[in-house]
Amino acid sequence: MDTRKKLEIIVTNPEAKPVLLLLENHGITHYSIIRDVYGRGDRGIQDGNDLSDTFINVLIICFITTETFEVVKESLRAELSRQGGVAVVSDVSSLKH
Amino acid sequence: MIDNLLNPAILFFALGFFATLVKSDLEIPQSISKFVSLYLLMSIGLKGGIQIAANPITADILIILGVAIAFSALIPFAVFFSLGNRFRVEDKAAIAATYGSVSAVTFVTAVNYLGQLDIAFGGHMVAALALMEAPALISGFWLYKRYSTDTVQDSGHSNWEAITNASVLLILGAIVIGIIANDAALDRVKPFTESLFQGMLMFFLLDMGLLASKRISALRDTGIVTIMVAILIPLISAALAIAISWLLSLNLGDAFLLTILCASASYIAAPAALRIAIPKANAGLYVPMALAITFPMNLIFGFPLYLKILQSIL
Repeated sequence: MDTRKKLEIIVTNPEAKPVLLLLENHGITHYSIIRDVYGRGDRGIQDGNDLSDTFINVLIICFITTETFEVVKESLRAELSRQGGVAVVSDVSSLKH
Repeated sequence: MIDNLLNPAILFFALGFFATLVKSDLEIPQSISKFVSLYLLMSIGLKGGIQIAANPITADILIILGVAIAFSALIPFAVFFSLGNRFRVEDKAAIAATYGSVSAVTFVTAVNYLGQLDIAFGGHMVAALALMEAPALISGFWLYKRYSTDTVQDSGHSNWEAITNASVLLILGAIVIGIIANDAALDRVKPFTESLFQGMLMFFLLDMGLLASKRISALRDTGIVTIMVAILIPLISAALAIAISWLLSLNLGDAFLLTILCASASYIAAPAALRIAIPKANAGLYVPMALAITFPMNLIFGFPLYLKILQSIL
C-alpha cells in the first residue's frame, strides 16, 4: 500500500475558491469537497444562516505525496493566515489510489 | 405607517423574527431560500426589461443611472471617514462597502410597496439596482488597500466577483431578456413571473425574518454604537438621495426607489466579495448590521417615512 499525506482544509465557502486555485497551481488537481460544513471557530458560528454562503464552511480533502505536500505547505499556510481557515495533515495508507 | 405594518409581507417578516426569538424549529431549507431569492431577482429583472423596451432610453435616464453609480462609489468614502477610530480599518472598509452597495431584497420589497400604492416607476431603476452593487465594493476595497498597514493582495479576483456575482448577473440577464424577448412569449410566462410574485415575496420575507433574528444576536457584544451606525448611515444616505431627487425633479416612483437603493445595505453580494477581498474584516459585524438592523428599519419605518417626505417635496 502506498503511503500518502491526507490534507484536510476547512474554510468558509467564499474562501474555498482561492484555496482550490492555490492547490491546482501546485499540481493538486484531485480533491474532494464536502459542502455545508457547520461549526464554530475564531470567527463565530458557521451555521449557514445567510444567503451569501458566507456563514458556511466547506471541507476540502486531498491525498498527496510527501513531496507535493512539502511544495504546497508554506503557500497554503500563508493563504490560510491571510484569509482564515484551518488545515490538518495526517499520514495514511492508500489501498487504491 | 400602520398600513405598512399590517402588510402581510411585513407581518410574515415579524413572524419569522418572532419564531427565532421563541426558539421555534421553524426554518426554511437553504436551497428553497435561494430558489425564491433567484426567482424574485429574475422576475424583477424581466419586469424592468419589459418597461425599458416600452420606453426609450433618454438623457434623463442616463443621468439617473450615473447618479446611482456615483452614489454607490462615493457613499463608502463618507461612511469610512465618518466611522473614525471606533472600528479597525478592515471593519470600516467592509462596513463602508456594505452600505455603499445595495440590497436587492429591499429593492424588490420596495417595488412591491409601490405596486400596492399604484405608484409608477421606470424600468431603468432595476438597471440602477444592478449597477450599484459593484462600485461600492471596489471603493471599499480601495479604502482598505489605501489605509491598511497589512500587505494587501491584488483586488482583481474580488472585483470580478463583485461584477459577476449571481444577483448582478441574473438581474442584468433578465433585463436584457425582458428587452429582447417577444411580447407574446413573455405574456405566456406571466403567470409564473408576475402572478406568483407577491406570494413568493411574502414567503421570502418570512425567511428573512428568521435570518435577521438569528443574526441580531451577533451584535449583542458590539455595543450600542454599532446599532446606531446601522440606523444612522441609511437615514443620512436616504436624506442625500431625497435631496438629489428633488434637484433632478425625479418622478415619485423613481425618487423613492433611488432613496431605497441608497439607504439599503448589501447582505448577499457584499459578504461573498468581502470575504475574499477583506478576509480580516469581521463578517459577524457588517452582515448583522445590514441584515438585522438596517433591513428591518427600512422595511418597517423607512418605506413610509421616505415616501411621505418625497410626496411633500416633489
